Amino acid sequence: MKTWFSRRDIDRELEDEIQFHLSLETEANRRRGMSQADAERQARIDFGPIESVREEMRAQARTYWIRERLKELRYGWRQLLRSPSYGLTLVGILTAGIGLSVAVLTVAHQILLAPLSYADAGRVVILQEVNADQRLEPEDASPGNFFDWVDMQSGFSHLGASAPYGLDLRSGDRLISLETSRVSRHYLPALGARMAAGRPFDALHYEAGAEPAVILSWESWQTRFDGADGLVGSTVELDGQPVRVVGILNERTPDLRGAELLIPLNMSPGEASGRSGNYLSVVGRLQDGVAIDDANEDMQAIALAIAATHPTTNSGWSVRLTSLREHLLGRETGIVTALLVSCLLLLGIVFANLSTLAMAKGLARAPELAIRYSLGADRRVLIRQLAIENLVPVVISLVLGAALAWSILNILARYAPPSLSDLSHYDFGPTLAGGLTVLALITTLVSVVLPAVRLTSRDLASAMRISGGRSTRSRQNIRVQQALIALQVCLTMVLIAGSGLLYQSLQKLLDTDLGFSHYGRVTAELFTYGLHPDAASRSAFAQSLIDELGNRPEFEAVATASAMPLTPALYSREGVEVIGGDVGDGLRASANSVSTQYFDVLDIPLQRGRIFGPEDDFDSQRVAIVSEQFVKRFFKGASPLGERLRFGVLGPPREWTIVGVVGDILDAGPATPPQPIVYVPNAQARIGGMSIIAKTNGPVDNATELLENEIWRISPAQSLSSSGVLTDAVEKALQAARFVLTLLSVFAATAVGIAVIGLYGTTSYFVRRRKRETTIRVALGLTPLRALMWVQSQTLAACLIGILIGGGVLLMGMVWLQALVYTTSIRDPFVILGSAAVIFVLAVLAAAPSSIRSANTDPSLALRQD
Amino acid sequence: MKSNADLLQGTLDLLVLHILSGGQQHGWGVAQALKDRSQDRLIVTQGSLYPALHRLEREGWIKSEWGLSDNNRRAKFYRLSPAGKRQLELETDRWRRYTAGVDLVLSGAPG
Repeated sequence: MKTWFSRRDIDRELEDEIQFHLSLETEANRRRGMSQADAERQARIDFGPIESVREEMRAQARTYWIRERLKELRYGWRQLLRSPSYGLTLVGILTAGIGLSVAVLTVAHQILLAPLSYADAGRVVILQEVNADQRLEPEDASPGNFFDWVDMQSGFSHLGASAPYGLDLRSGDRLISLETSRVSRHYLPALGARMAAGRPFDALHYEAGAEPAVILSWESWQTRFDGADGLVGSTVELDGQPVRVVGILNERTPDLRGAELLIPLNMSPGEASGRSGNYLSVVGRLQDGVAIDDANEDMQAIALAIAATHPTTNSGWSVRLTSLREHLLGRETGIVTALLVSCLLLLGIVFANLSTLAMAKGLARAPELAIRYSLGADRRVLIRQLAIENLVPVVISLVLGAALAWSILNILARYAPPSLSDLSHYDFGPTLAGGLTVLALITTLVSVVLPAVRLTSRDLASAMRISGGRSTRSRQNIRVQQALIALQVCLTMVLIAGSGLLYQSLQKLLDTDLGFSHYGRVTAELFTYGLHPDAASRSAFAQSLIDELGNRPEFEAVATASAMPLTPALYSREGVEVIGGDVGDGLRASANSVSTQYFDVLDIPLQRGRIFGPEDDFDSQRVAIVSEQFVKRFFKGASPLGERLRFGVLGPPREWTIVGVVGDILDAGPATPPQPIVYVPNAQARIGGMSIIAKTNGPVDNATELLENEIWRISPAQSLSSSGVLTDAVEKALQAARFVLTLLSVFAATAVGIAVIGLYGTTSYFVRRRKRETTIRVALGLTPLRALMWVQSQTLAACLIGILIGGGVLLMGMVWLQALVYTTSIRDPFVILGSAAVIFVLAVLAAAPSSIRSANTDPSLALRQD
Repeated sequence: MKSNADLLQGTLDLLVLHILSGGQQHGWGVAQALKDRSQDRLIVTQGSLYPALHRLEREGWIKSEWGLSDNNRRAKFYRLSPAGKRQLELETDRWRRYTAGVDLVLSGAPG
């Protein structure tokens, strides 16, 4: 046991021993007639160099310690090989538990806590306009509002805005339109974007007549310019003009819209005062010491003041501040929290399991330990030996678990949807190591230290007859076992039912009817202003595209629109005024100018009135079609046919008469509720860009290329962007949900697997403990079937308690769970009852083999064994 | 003076075990016994005895405990354990066969 003393103790003992030796030698020398001084000197000489003796003994102690531990590890390894099923179970459960939970903990840490790459990102907020009365999704700001905010605000050091735009880049003999953001001077400083090369725009770039300048995104630098060195400072040709490259954004701090190019935002006074088009993404950087809530209050006061001066457009509209993290990952945080909780539940199951396994293992070892103890073995030695025995599988599992977590994370980083794509830049190492360390400590405590102490602390004499199950101790043990069964059942049930409810909710989301057909529809976004500067020629060009493409046998129907659902082609948000009604002010709707075939191509159903026809041309009465939501929100469901509207940006103020109502579409994906939309005919107004959509005639290979080539055949100089199959866009919108669903399924399945193994282990341990009692009952005439029921009733009672507690926990947790998930409701009694039933059946099955064995034992055999 | 480096590997262990088979003894006592019984032929650097004693203790061949010496001072006493007794028999046997072998070679004619 010397090795357990501190090094100082060893040194002191050695010192005492040496001093004793020297004094005896000195006395002997004195007897030989030496003087005291000579005697002492000679004693030291005969002893030899004391320091080297000390050093040798210390070194000896060290190598001895290592050798002993290796010996114990080898012994532990042999013990593990002796009962491979126990070892495999332990390693399997621990590996799965550690691997999965460390991976999830790491992802959760990244999404919920890890610092964003933007400079001092905690102070960055996104400002959006909100309208509580109209229940609209928060939206971007109009220029007029933005510039008022800039003038009136006091809480921000920078307040910047960006507006979407498109610039053409020549690639071979084609023009490609690149997503571009026009950014105000304070946009990049407010966001805290870092530069990979060059610098942000400065005041000179915003002066009238300044040389055109551009900042590239990391991606466009890599893909469009092959990561060329020396690009900064040179000029590139955009829209046929030479433009100076002043900088390249850092890979990890992209523009919030994901624009490939950034150019300075300069507005004419007319544009800058407009309040009916909401197309500015506004980013603010809070001043030091200003809390987001204070800034929020401040901005709301400002919004009230603006609404008072501009009631038509701003009545009811306020401002909402969102932290950058919530803006970037907001939708994901809820689901990640749910994953985190399920991860904790899984760990709970794993550790309950480990305790059970350790107890079962201890039961098997108890007689041996008792014998060794009674033969005088040191208790500390026994503890150490047991601990090291258990340490072997724990260490193996930690290594395997770390490898598993690492592979899971790499898979996640590769396949995670773009909304979680920050994962691909993330350095998992530190969090992974931290999580592993914590888990290693808990695991060591639960499955190494505690069982060893427990096993040796019990009255070891009683351990000799432990299999009889007669002592008070063993009755307490049965209570502990029952509690462990109940705990595992409860946790498993919460996990299964919780995952089931989330799964159901996500499944509903995936099954949501979007309100339009996307299968076999291809789209392409065109920029027409350059080639067709005036409205009439744009309209004529659109019609020629529709006609020519419509003649192709591959396309059944073709339409154009200024915006397409689920594609980057943005809807324009417009202030809407209902003339002569008492509908109120501050109405806003998405506006889309469409060709007559649009509703047909997308299968958007007409509900009332009519759709557009050829008669709705430039010279005839202005007409509009509105969506169901538009009617619900602005007309309280009353018929809007014949009502007249006024819009801000659709040319000079004109009145538009509502002639039809169509079904709602979920244009931003299934997780966003439908928004009010107003459609106007292409021929009467065009808003923003132009997208073309074609419905293919049955399945067509390479439909996207076909569409692109046709457009270029008709208009060779046309620039195109974001062409693709609409179904892909739908898939992209569902990617995050699908991804989480897969994760959840894997998680729940693992948990169930571990729980079943655990239940099997626990019940078989339990049954073994009660074997004697069972056999006596059988000997006294209990039929085997009754005996089986009796054995099962012991474990199933614990199961039922677990199920009841689990049900209670679920009911309480439901409110919280609901807040996490998407729009669908999760209250489903069938999921809860179903999971209870599943658990119960699993418990019965897990308990069955050992119960049957126990009930069938020949009493004489079982008693003799004891 | 001879140091124990000159003793054949393992010989010191054998000698210590043998000395302790006569009863418990502290370190100085072992050194004295070694010196006396070899008639001063084997003089071990006294200090090097202690690492040997501790090593033997770790092997489980000898046990130690603190007690009072003849002149009433605190001393550490070593005694042979049952395992040490077996080890001593084994080592003695091995030593005898070894020296007998060496003797046989030396008593024959060279070449």
